[in-house]
Amino acid sequence: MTATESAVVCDQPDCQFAATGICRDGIPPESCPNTSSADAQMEEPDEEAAATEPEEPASLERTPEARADDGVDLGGDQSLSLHEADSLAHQYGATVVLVAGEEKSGKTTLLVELFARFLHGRFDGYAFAGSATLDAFDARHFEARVKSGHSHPTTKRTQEEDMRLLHLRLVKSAEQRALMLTDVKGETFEEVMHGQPVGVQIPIAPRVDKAIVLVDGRKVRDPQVRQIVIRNARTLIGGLFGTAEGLRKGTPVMIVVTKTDLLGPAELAWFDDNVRSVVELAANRGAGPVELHRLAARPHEDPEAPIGLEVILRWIWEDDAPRATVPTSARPDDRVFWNAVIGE
Amino acid sequence: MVDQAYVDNKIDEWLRPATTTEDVIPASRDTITSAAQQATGEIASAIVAVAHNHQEGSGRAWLNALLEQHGASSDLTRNDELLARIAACTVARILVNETSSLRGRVGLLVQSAAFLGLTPVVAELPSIADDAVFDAARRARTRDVPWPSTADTIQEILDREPEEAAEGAEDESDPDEALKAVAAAVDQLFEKLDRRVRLIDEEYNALWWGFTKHSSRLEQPWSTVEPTERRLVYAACELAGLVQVLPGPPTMRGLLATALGDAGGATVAIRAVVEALAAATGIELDATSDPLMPFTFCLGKLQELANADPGTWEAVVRGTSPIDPATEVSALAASAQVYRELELRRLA
Repeated sequence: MTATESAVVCDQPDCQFAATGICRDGIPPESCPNTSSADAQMEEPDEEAAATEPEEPASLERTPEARADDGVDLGGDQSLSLHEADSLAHQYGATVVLVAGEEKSGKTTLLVELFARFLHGRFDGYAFAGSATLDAFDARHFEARVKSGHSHPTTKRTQEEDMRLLHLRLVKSAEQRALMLTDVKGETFEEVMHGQPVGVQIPIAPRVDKAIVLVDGRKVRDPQVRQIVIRNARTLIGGLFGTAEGLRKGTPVMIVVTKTDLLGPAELAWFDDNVRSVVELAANRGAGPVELHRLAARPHEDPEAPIGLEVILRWIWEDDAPRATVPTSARPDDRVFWNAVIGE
Repeated sequence: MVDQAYVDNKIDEWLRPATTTEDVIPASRDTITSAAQQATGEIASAIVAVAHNHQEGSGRAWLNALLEQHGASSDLTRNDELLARIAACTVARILVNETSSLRGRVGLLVQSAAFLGLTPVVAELPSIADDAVFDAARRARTRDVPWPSTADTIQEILDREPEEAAEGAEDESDPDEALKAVAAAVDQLFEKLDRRVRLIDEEYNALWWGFTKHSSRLEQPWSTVEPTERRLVYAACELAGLVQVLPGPPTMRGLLATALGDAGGATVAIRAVVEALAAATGIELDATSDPLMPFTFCLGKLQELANADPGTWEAVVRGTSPIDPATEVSALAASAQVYRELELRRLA
């Protein structure tokens, strides 16, 4: 059956299936995770949506001119460069979180949905305290909103080429933290998997405080590719920790299987069994505490009700750097008077 | 103990949260080194305040000027976290410098900040300060052992070959040189002995003071001194008067606890302690503008605004410092803080 006959298309840019009927990766079309029905293609917005689609994100309901007039700086429509992030860190400090994973594993969706929680007020006890990349978040969230006209929310693919960060300041129990979350294309991590130096691909790696490695749940569902996904996760972690320019030894890692609303008990059990090799590798390469987690950031049944997002936020927030047990002065043993502390 | 090497190895880690690149680290390190060398008693409290994210203007300006000298950013309005961490590293450097004259003072100021509930940007700072104060107290009470043998010292002098005068030159040797040398050696030994005896006397005095549970100034048992605020103030002042070698050892807290007895666990409001301080006689606490000495700071405001409406001094304190006079603390903690401020006054 040809692609034309089946009206199946592949969204991989270099796959010639549509023209030749041959998959780039040799996967049968019914099993390929990158195919979809042409009828269900969401690339072309309908006329109504196109007519109303503004050049600037509409959700903030203010034109750029109006924003400039009232002097409120909501940040540019791009995430932060390393230099810009550095300036912000001078002011607020920063907890840098690397969000890593293959293309389409859900990196940007995770960031967008995390941001979106705060559009409704407090989330799991955390309150929004500011962001220097509000427009950047909003632009990424735009596709996911109902008023975009899409039948199902999506997240636009990360376009920016450089190492960029999204900024989110949160408050909990009078403690404020500034989070800097990487928003990097999946191809960058695939380059690392293919042996490119992590210091070149991800220059911020040595500065990362915590790393989240996403495993695409949609691929875990597919018996044809699930082993590849596990292998790639191992390779990615190995590349991230492989050199002095990579993640520092002791960096906590959370391995997250995404889109778990698509997975049944058997698939989840398969994942739990097979991800152990990834955890072992991470530990052997010097990762800090390694945790496993399941996430459905935008469940199909209810995209507004993510599952597992609060656990990730709590994990990011935890300040689990060991409190240095400061080596205390040796206490001499012959003078109780100024040695002992009594009456406490 | 915590030493220079420990702090030096930690500086990059402590600075890291204030940067996402390595760019500012070298300039920050140089700033820390310069600040630790150049800090004076006047700026020490300001640096400690900045290290606790209390946005003290003069401290930030001083550190920022040093940062500029070392080629880094001069944007004072945006360097809050960075300056706070530089300040914390500077404080740590001073605390581990055994030869620094500021060591004891800075350690006590960090302990004062902890009393106020201020949180340093570097979590290890309070522990380093406690260790530094303890070590400074230990060094202040170091006994000179072993003592050189007096007989050996004198024998060495007697065994020295006299210098022979050049041929034809007049003999200028002092016939009493040997005796003078012996006398000087004996004097040195007596100085050491005297110092040691004074240390022992001080310790005995403090111990007996604690044992008797009796106020020497008020001439009554501590258990009869009321209210609790008055008791804790006089206890701190009397004990501070007995301990001349500074800083005092951590055992002082235990002696204060014996004076306070069961009242040590009671809670007292800062305002009430300040009022007790104002009413007490013979207290050697001068007013200060340094909010890291909260009782002295509040006492100054109370005295300054004595003729204003009741409560005015409290409002002024709240508006100009991180101190809330309504805060309640344990009587023992309050007494220890009064004692600490008396030490700070003498270490100034």
